[in-house]
Amino acid sequence: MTAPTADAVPTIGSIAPRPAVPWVRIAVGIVVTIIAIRLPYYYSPETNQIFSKVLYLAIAAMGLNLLTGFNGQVSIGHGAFFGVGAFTSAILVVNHGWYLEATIPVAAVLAALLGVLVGFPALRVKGLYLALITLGLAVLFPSVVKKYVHGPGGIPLLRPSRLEVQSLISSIPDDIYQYYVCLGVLVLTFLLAANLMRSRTGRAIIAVRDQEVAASTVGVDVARVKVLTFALSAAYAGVAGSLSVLIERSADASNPLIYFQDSIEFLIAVVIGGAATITGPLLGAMLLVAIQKRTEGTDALAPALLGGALIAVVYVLPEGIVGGYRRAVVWARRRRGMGSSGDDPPASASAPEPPSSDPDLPAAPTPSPT
Amino acid sequence: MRFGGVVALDGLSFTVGEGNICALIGPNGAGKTTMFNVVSRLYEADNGRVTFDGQDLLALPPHKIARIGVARTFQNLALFPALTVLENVMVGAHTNGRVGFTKAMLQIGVRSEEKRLRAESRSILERLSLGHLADRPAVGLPFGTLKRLEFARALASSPRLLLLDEPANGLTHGEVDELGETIREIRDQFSLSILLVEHHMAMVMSISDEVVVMDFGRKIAEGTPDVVRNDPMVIEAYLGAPA
Ligand SMILES: Nc1ncnc2c1ncn2[C@@H]1O[C@H](COP(=O)(O)OP(=O)(O)OP(=O)(O)O)[C@@H](O)[C@H]1O
Ligand SMILES: [Mg+2]
Repeated sequence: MTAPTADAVPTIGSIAPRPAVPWVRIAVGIVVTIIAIRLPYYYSPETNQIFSKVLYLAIAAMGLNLLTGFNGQVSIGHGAFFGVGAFTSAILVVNHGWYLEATIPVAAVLAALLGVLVGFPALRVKGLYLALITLGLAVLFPSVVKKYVHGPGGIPLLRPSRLEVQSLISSIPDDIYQYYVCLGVLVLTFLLAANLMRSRTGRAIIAVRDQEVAASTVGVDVARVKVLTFALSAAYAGVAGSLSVLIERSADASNPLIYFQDSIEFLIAVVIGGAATITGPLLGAMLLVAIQKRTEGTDALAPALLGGALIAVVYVLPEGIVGGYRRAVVWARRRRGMGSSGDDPPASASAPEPPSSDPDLPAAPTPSPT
Repeated sequence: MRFGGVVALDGLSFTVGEGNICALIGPNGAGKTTMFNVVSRLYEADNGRVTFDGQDLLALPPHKIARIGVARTFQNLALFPALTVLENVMVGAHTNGRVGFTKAMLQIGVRSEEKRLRAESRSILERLSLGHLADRPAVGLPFGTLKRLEFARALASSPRLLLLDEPANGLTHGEVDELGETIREIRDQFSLSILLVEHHMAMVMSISDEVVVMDFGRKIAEGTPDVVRNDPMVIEAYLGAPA
C-alpha cells in the first residue's frame, strides 16, 4: 500500500449524508440492533460486565472525539471528567441514597461545569501545550479526591452496596440490566452527537478545527464554540464515569495514575476507531477492550503485547477503523467506475499547502523579529 | 440605506462608495492584505478608524464583522479541507442560520434550516460554476477553483461589502476576463460593494469604478482607472515595476 494521500478519502471529519444504498444500511441497522439486545443473554455475567465496559468507554471516547477529533482540541485529561462523574454518582448513591440512574444527569452537569472551567484557559493554548495542561488535570484529580473523599479507612474509594446498583426491573438479571442501561445511554449520547455534527453548529465545530481564522471571519464565535464543545465533551466523560460506578461498583482514586490511564484509553479508542467519525469511538472501544482481554493474563508481557497490537492497528489503519473502511469503499468505487465516467478528473497532485502557514493569516500575534 | 466605509492604515484613508467596485492596488508588500486583516479584526490597529454603515468595526470582535455584512476572501486560501465544497459554502452561510448546540442535538429546526442553507449554498455554487463539484472534498482541487470557492463562501454570508484578495490568482488569461465579468455581475445581482485587491491590471482597470493605489502602507493615488493610470507617481511606484 502506498502512503495515504489526503485527496484519496472523501471528507474525513465531515458528516455529509453518505450515498450508500439505503436498504443495506437499514438491514445492517436491524441486525446490529437485534444482536445488541440479545447479546447479554448468551454470555456470562462476567462477560456482560466487559460488554458494559466497552459501552461506557465508548461514551467517554465519543466525548473526547467531539473535542479532539471534531474540534481539534487535544485532551489527555478526560479521565478527570470521567472521575468527576464517577465520584458524583458514588457520593450521591453512598451518602445520599440516590438511585444510580438518577445521578447520571448530575454527573453530566458537574463534569460539564468543570469542562467550562478548563475550556476557557484552553482558548489560550494549543496542541501539545493543551495536551500537557489536560494531562496535569488527570494526574491532579486523584489528589484532589483524596483531600475531600474519605471512604473505608480514609482511602478515596467509594463502594455502593450491591443493592444500590441492582436491577430495577425484576425480570431482568442485574448484569443484563446494567448492560441495557449502558446501551441505552450509549444510543442516546451517540444520537445526540450525530445530530449535532449534522447541523450548522457541527460544521462550525469542524471549521474551527480546520481553519480557525477563516471560521471567525464567516461569523463563527470561535471562543464560544470551543468552550461549549469542551463542556459537552466533559459531560460525555462524566456520564461514562457515572456508568462505570454502575458496572465496577466503585469510584476509586487510590491509584494516583488511574485517571491518567483512563484518559489514554479514551484517546486510544478514538484513534483506532477513527477520529472525527460517529461510529469510530464505539468500534475503537470494542477493539481496545478486545486487545486488552487477549493480552491480559500473560503477566509481565501484557502491556508490551497491548502496545504492539496498538502499533500494528495504527500502522495498518492510520485513520482508524472507520477511516480505513471509507478508504476501502472509495477504492472499490474507483475500481468499479473505472473507464465509465470521464467527468471525475484525477484530483490535482498539488494539494494546497496547509492553510495555517499562509502569510496573510495572522496565526498568532508573534512579535516580528525584524 | 447608506454605505460608507472609511479605512485607515499608516495614514491610509479612503472610502468605498456604495455599490462600487473599488480596487486597492500596490506593489508586493504594500500592505493591502494587512488592511484586509485590520478590517476583519484579525490585526489590531494601533489607531485609526474603520467604519461601515456608520458602525465602528474596530469595536467589534472578528466574528461579528460577518454578521453586519462584511465578508472577505484570503489571498492564500483558508478553506476547510475536511469539508466538501458545498459544506465550505454552508459554513460561509453561518450567520444565516440559528441552530445552536442544544437545538442541533435535539433536532429542533435542523431539518428546515439545513434544507434552506443547502439550497442557498448550492445556488451560489451554481452561480460561480462550481455546482458540479459540490460534493467533492475541498482538498485536492486546483488553486484557481479553490479561489473561486473562497469567493462563494464569502458570498454565502449575504455580505454588503465584499473584500476580495487577489481572486484572479492562479487563473489563465481567458479565465481572468471571465472572472472580471462575473465579479461585475455578482456585484449587481447581490447589490454589493466590492473592495478588490488584484495584481491583474487589465482586469482592475476594466471593472473598477475607483482605484486606490498604495505603497508602503500609504495612499499614493486615488481616482477613476483613467486618472490613476496616468498618474506619474503610480507609474513610478507600481506600473513601472515588473508586474
Ligand atoms: N504577520 C506579519 N508579521 C510581520 N510582518 C507582516 C505580517 N503580515 C504582513 N507583514 C508585512 O507587512 C507588509 C505588508 O504586507 P501585506 O501582506 O499586507 O502586503 P500586500 O500588499 O498584501 O502584498 P502582496 O501583493 O504580496 O500580497 C509586508 O512588508 C509584510 O512583510
Ligand atoms: Mg497580499
